[in-house]
Amino acid sequence: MELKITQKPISINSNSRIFYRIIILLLIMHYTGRSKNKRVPLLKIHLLVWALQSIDRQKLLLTAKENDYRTSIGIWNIDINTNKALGYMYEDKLCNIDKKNYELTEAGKNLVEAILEDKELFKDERDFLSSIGKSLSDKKVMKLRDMWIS
Amino acid sequence: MLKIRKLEIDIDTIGNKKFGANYTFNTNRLNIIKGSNHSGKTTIVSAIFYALGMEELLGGRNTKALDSILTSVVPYERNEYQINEASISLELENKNKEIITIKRYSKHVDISPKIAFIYESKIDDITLNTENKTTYIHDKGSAKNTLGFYKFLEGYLNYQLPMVPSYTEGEEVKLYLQVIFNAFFVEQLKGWTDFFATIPNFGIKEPKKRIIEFLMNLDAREFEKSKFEYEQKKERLIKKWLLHIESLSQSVEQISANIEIEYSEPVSVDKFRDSKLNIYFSNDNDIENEDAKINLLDYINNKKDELVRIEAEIDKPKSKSDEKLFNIRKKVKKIARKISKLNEIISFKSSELISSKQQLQKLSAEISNLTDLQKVRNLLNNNTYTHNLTKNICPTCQQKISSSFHTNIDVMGVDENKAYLKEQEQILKVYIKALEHEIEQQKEVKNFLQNEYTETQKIIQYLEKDIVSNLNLSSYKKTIDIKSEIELLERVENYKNKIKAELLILSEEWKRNEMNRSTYEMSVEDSQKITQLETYFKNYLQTFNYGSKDDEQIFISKKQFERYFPIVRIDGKDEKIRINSSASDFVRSLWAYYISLFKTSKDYDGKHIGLMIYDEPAQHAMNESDQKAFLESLALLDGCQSIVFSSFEDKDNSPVGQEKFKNMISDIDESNIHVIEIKEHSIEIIN
Repeated sequence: MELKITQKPISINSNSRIFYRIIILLLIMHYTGRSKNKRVPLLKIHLLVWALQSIDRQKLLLTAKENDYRTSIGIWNIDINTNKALGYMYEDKLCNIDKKNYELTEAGKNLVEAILEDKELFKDERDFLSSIGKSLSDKKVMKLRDMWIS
Repeated sequence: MLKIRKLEIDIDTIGNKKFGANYTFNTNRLNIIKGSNHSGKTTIVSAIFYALGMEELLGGRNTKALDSILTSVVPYERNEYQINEASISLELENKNKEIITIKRYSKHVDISPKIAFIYESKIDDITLNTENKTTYIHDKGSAKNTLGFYKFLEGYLNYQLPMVPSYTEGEEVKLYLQVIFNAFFVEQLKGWTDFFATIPNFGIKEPKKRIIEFLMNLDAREFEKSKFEYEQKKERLIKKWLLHIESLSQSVEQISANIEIEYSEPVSVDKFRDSKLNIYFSNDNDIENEDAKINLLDYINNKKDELVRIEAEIDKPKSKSDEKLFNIRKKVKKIARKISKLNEIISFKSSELISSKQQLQKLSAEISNLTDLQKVRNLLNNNTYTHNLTKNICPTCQQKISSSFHTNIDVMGVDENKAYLKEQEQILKVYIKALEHEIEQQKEVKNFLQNEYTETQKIIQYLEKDIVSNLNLSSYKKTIDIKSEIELLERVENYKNKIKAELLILSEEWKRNEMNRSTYEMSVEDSQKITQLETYFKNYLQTFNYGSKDDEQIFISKKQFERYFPIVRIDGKDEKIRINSSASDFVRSLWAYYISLFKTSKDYDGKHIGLMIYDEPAQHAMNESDQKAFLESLALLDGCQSIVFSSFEDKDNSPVGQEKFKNMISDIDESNIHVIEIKEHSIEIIN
């Protein structure tokens, strides 16, 4: 008797897809980034990626927003895949790195614009990010981080 | 009793000049020391006060109150002689005719003014060898220790000074001699401004009242004490009474009855003994008479009758369907077990359904994500965006890369994955539908069983009714109810009797306490004394021509306000006599009061020492005829020695002044008056 094992492709969560992550990152930078270039520090990106992964986390952050982020939201995890995705984006000229901040290139901006044209695309993610908007300043992110240990 | 027989002042100066004074007094009647303003009358007054340790009444302790002529320098013929040694000796006599001499130095190189020597002999009999007792003045214990001067004087006066309330709550202080002597000695500077104007501060509460109480042997303190005790007891009894009634009402409320009590506040036992204290039920059944009441005791008896009646009706039960009942009960148990098993299954499946639905939701969300990704990809492919990432090409090395972060695993593409998930979704949907159907069915079965269960229960009830007659069953229950009700009612009835007994005891106490009650402000004896004082006082006011207020308006207060002191009643309101009298009229009232004090004390065997010293009593340009009346009154006081110091406005012994004075004493019997005239100076050179 002969046993033949062939590897079959498996189903994965879209969150594990590089392309999906890139779109999320573009949206994060677009909605919450500072100034014309949509500058966002790495830690804030991680926070928002983490938040987007569940409804509960999104609610937690929105509650914190009402309080101007003065209460601790606990620790958020740092997903190494986000860094990988950012690396790809940099190589693909979708974003630039300036010190610890990421910012959108023109190409990046165009890509986001194109996605946003269809109002139904990634509606949940967009709703959440636009309600966070500019309220979560870089300083507040640092303060939330400081609350990990205090 | 205290009499001053003789005063001797001896002053030795540096250079051996000796000065001094020597006065002998009439011990039974009026003495007048007459002298012009600069004659040194006051030196004599202060010397007497000093010798008796009463210099605080002049406003200072020890030699502070004395003139310099007694302590440092004697002016004489334009010279001044420094004093080497000065002493004041006072010869006294008491009730028991014991004659003593008090000697106190006002200046001595060794002997402090705080020392007083007591000789048991007359001044003239004292030699260097005469035995004496050394006592001390003003130091701690001078009023209490045997070597204290005031302790000695207290004994000599045959006094037993009481302890009186202090300003400090709950503490007592001795009623000091220096306080009492305010009733006897009136000095000229402050003495005529108020009753007992120069009381030194010993922390005594209301010292003026205490003086009067002491001198007239009033039992005010005892009286007030018993009055206070009465009030306290009254309050305590009321509290207890109310407490008892309150607790009785509470227990009556428990049985929803009413309480009827004649005295809700304490009364004497005579009233209470036969008074009403009832617990009753209003009779709702008696429609014709709405006020019908049933006494608790009757109510209990009614209940007892009812119990006897019902118990007679109860039969022994007869049974024939026992077995039938047993079988049906078995069946009911089986059904119950089945129902509970079904409940378990239904709840398990329901939770399965919930988790499946959650899973479906997740799947749908994932599918929509993938759909979005497809759309973006198509969008990018159809446009000019040529990013490598959309084509799964590495931007760095331009080689094909995995579309996921799991680089080593072959994963489905977006389209493929979406199709795969859709299939799963489909399966899940079918499963959910099947689950829902199943749950529905089981619920139906359960409902059926439930109905059967209740039906069977009814059958059991029916059968039970068959076994025990309906009447008997209810009767059993009723007997139990009535028994416990009777028990409760009897407890309340007993409690009522107990409370009634307690109230009876309280009402006896109330009666006893009420017998101690006095409606008066003071005891009958005290009241008599004060009335006598008032009579004397008003008589003297008339004698001295007091005119500020009418006779009927003046009283000696028996109330708390200005108690024992003269008051003026205007429109029913009591006011001090001082603010309602002219200045000279107020001095008249002082004269009248001090003399009346002596007379009342004498009438009632009080403690007045029978000695009065008045320094310049004719204040405020007093009318001559009134002064005359005053002196005459003093001269007529039997058993009272009075010493009046006055200039009688006779500045330089003018013939007119002499004439005036002569006129003033013209009506006084010679045996009742002793006039000492100071010619030039009270202190004279001896050699």
